Amino acid sequence: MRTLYILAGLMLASLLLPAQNKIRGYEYWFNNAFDGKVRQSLSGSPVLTLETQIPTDALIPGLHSLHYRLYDDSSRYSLTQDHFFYKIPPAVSAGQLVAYEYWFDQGLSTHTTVATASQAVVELNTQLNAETLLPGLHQVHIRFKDNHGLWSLPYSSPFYRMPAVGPTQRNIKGYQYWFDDQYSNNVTQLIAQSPVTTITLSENTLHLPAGLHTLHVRVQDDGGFWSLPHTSHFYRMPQQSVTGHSIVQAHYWFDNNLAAGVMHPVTGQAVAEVNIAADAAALPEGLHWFNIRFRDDAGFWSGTTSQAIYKMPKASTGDNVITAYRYWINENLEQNTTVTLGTPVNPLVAPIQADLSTLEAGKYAIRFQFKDAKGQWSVVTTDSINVQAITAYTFTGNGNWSNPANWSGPVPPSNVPDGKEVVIDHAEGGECIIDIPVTMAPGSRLTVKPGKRLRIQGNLIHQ
Amino acid sequence: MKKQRLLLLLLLASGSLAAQKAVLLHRTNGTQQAFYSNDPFNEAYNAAAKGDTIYLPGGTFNPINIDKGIKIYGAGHYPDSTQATGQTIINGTIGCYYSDADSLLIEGLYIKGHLHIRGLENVYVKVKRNRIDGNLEAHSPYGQYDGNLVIGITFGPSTANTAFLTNNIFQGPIAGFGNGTIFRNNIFLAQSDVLYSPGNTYVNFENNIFVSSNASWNYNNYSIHNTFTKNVFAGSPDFTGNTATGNYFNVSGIFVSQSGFTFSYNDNYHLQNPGTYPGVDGTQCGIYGGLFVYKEGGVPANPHIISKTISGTTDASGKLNATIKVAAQNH
Repeated sequence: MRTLYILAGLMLASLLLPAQNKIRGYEYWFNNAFDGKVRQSLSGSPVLTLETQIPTDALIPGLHSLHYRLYDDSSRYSLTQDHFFYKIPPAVSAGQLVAYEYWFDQGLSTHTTVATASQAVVELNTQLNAETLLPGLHQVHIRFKDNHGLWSLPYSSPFYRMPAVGPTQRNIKGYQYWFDDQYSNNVTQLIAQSPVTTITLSENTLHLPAGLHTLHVRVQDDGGFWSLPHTSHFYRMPQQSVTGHSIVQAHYWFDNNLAAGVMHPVTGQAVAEVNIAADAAALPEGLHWFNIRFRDDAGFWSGTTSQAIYKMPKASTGDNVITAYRYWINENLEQNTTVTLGTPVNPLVAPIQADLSTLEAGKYAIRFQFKDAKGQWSVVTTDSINVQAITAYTFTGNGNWSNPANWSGPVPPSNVPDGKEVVIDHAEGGECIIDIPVTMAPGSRLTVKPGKRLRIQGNLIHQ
Repeated sequence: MKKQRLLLLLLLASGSLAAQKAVLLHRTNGTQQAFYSNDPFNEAYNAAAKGDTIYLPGGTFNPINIDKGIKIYGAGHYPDSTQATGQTIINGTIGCYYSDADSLLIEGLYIKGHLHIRGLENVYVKVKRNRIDGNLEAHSPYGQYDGNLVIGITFGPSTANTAFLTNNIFQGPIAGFGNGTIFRNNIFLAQSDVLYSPGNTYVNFENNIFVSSNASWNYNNYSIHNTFTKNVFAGSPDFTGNTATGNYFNVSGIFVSQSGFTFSYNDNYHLQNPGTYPGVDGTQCGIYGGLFVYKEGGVPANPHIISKTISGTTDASGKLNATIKVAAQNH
């Protein structure tokens, strides 16, 4: 459809014009092509009925829009009218195939076009030139064109490009290898040609870091063709492991104190049996961890092995014994009586006679505490006691009154109080000598046993 | 009359004062100080400095918090071995919290509350031969806990720790111990959930005796990555998540005299067949093997007063006769 009828639209537009003016022409354009608008002049009439055909040759088939407007004597335009229309493709006559073209792989730009006799059906039986292709797997694409210039969808098919040479026996003439992804560093070697060969690589891999790597190897025949690369993995051992090594050092430390670790030299041995006397003097008594590891002459350390140890206290020189005891009254620790045992024993089961004769009669607390050879003390044992009044002082020795050893019990005070008695009962053949002033209070009594003697050198006052 | 009453009251007061227990503080410089007040433990502690020793006699004392590396000796907790002195009872919880109590020693106490040793600063703490009715928190790095009786739960730190818990009797479960801890030659009396929450991980259990035959001995299987070597089990527990080597399972009649899952001073925890269950060091499993053989009566290491007979009255010459049996201790 090459023309477009716009009759109805123009009639509608005429109704909008003023009666005294005349329509002098119209303009139209397609789609957004205002700049390409077409202007048509008319003879002029107040009412216009226009029936015309507008060529659409320049438009492709499909949906389009038509825009038109009128203008009058005063060059005033009507409102633009818009219409959508669908351009139908032109009728096609029975097609005839006139050509085909083909290309290989991704080479559309290098396609080859071949004209054919015009015919509705083409049965193509020909040889396509694939000489420029490398041997191997490829794809061929082919499409056909009709006499309207339309192309069919391309047809694609894989094929294998055989080597250009014939099926004669090929020989391996060389190989090529490289490591990891370092193809640019490949090594290519020519060998004596042979249909079957064994390739032995003796590549120095020291330039590779220790660890896992890949080796790629491919061979080339005398036709110049390469095999697919063969890839294998290998572990590049540390350089030091190439030869035997020796343990040369032990490193040990206690607990978490790595900083205070001790390096202990070991005579180089492949298998070392190390006898270490680790100095644990600085450790406190108790549980600890002993950690040790070993180093070889290549500088590699073993893992660390740890062992719980217990540092025992210093051994005592023998069984512990009780060496002393003390006792005191009430809160008078400072006035305690300490008794050191002449012969320390363990256990101590001994009668203790505490001299409390200086105390007034009454209730007291007596406290005992015992000491061992380690210097440790027992807890304090406390008991309530009742100190009884002393009624008599007995002189049983020989000599001075003032010598405590001459009294069987406590020494009487210099002022013997009321109710107390002093008894002179000295040793056989001896005597009692009052060598200090002694006062006997009223109610006190001085008794000299029969056959005993009292000599007064100082003063004896009996009140 | 008023004077007579006042005199009587003073006499009574003086008699009561004289009967007060004496807590002795022995300082490292050789001086000594005695405390007789109503709170003598607290006073002695306040007067103490690092390295000093406090001797607590039999009796009941108020608890204290400790932040000094001192030594504390009590008279013990076994009734039989404290007949002459009485048990040294702490009527509450002793706390040692995130402070510098390095080398603290607590020995021979009957703690009726908990014993909390918290904080990594409190290293080399030793807790020996105590009875702890509450929980024991054993967080001291390189801490040593031996010869104790723990009725409650024993907690440890989840962090790496080198705690040594040996020759103890645990009536309650244990929980929260981490890498480096060693439990050796202990008795675990708990019937179930011996390994409690939070779980114990990377702990070494050696030469211990587990009385429980309950399948739920590992609470929710929270305790993993532990190693059990040469332990005696009354049952055959599930070691899922743990490693077990050379242990003795389904052992009945383990002890000379013991029943139930609670501690009793009347039980005898010696093995019926001590040679049958050697531990990793060749000594017998349980509290009477290993480095720190359980001391009968839980007697502390200082001189121990076994018995005493003290005349209540002086004789006519002012002498007081006493017979006291006291034993020095080798360890």
